[in-house]
Amino acid sequence: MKCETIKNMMSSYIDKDLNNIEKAEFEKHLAECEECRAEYESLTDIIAACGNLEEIELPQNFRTELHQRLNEEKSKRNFFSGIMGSKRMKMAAGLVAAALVIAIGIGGSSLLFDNSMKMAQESAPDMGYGAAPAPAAPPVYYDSDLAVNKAKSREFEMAAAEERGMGEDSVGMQFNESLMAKEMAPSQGLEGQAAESARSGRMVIRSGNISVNVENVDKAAAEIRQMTESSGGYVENSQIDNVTVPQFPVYDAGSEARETTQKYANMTVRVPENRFEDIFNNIKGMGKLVSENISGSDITAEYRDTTARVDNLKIQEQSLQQLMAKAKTVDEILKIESELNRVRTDIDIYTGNLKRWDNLVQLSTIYVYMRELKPEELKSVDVPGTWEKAYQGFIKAVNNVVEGFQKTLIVLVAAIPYLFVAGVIAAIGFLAARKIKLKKKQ
Amino acid sequence: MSDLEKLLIKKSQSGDVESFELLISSYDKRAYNIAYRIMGNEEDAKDMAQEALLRVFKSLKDFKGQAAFSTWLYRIVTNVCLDELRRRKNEKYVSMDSSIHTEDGELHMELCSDKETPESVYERIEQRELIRNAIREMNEDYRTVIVLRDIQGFSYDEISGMLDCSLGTVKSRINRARTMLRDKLKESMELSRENIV
Repeated sequence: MKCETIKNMMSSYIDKDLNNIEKAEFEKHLAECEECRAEYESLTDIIAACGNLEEIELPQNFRTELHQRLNEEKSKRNFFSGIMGSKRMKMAAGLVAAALVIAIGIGGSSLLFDNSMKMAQESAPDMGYGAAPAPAAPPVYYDSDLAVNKAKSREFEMAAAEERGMGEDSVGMQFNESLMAKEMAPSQGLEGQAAESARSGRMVIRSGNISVNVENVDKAAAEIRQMTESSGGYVENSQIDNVTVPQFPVYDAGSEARETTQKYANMTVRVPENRFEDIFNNIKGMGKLVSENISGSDITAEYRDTTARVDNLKIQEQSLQQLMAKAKTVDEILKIESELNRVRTDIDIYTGNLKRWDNLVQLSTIYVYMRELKPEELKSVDVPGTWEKAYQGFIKAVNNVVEGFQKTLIVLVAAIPYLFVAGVIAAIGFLAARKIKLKKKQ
Repeated sequence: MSDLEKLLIKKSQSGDVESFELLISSYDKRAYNIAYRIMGNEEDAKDMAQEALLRVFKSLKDFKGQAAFSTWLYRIVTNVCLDELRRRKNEKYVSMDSSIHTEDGELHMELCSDKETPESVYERIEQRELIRNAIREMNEDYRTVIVLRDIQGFSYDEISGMLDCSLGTVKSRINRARTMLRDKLKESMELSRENIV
């Protein structure tokens, strides 16, 4: 083989780019030809020296300068895309405005039902006390109630809660931020993702307060416990107090004070979100309702923010780990280590928050307050209060006055034809009488 | 390409500067070094590397992932450097360390280094410095392949992707570049030996 060919093959040989036959031939020639061998050796020396050329460090201000230029470039780009962006913004604003108008429209029209709703509440108290299922108020009242609340509070969460069907009961809703901060028991192993997708991505923490008077607190408490546990939830807190109260008979002031015992129960139960309505209504149906309240707190935005934050931190963690692999000095390693520590702590905190939220959303909380009353006491509570009576009386009086005016007006208007005829007759009579008078004088 | 890189590319494409900086953080030093070896000095290397990275950011939306992101990035770096060198050639650019021919003979311009001590004069004669100078004196196309292959250690495939030429061209160009480098070194080694003696 000629030296010329060998020289052309040298690079390929060095870079191991030759097939076995070529390689064998090349090596054979190199063993024989001193000149080519020398050339080969000088080449490998040079290549090794090239590889040994030191790597130079980035200039100190390299990244900061680049950062500035990148930001300039970005703002330039934003200037052009800004027009597009603002258009989009305008569209979004328009949509929001339209939604608001519709919401106000619905809220306003339902305000008309406000009165009928109040009537409904007046007529509602004849609820049975021992009966198991809750007598649900007619849906129309529920609708107006909810809508009125919506019109009043204009809370976005409302709409969300309504979408998911708050149930057929008439409930007032309010938002309880403090609930979120409350420490909750660990998750019962329900899958957060499943619960979340079931709610089409909305994360709402729901809780309810019920205060009921029941015939038997122990029985009711046991029932609630059983109901909660069978639904997959748990009782977070349960307390039953037996309080002794001295009772002074009103009519017989001289007689001795008698003692009566009164039982109270305070319970906090956690139930799966999808069973919340059922259980809430069941508890409500256990006795005579004193008050109830359901609140929902939408944490979707916070949840998403936190998720994004965790994702970002994880990326940061990864790049720090990559950096760590490249670290050379102890000082570098320590610096990266402390940064890594910080990032990991943050990740832990945020994921902890997410888990807590998952738990809060999956399991709604119901606070139950029960008071034991004798059956006859339960019945007697139904009498409307003084103010209620005064209010009704006032309404009635106003109605009467309005009705009176209306009736007078109707009578007056209705009498117009008669008056007209009577007037004509009277005029004719008057004229005739005058003519007769004149004739008599003549 | 890792998932992280894909994610970062996607974010950078929508104009996120931070993601872009994270994305290039593993490449910018090498990009700078490539620019340094092609341009021959730190000043130019910085300008070119920044210009190239800025261009990467601008044209990232055209990056469809047909090649590795790193190859694509280094390709832009080499292109920016070579374009600059060609432009300068047309403008008859005088390099800081080029030789200027005057009536009195050859005047060698060189930047003074702070580290220049009597001892280091001898160090300069060592092979490393000679190679550095020899590479600097090469034609830019050959210099580029030496930089990419022998200094940065890219594979033939990667280089062909970066320079947008066939594998055959790359191979022959590398072979030619190495021979040229060796010839140049031989020359300068003889020269330095004469100087010392």
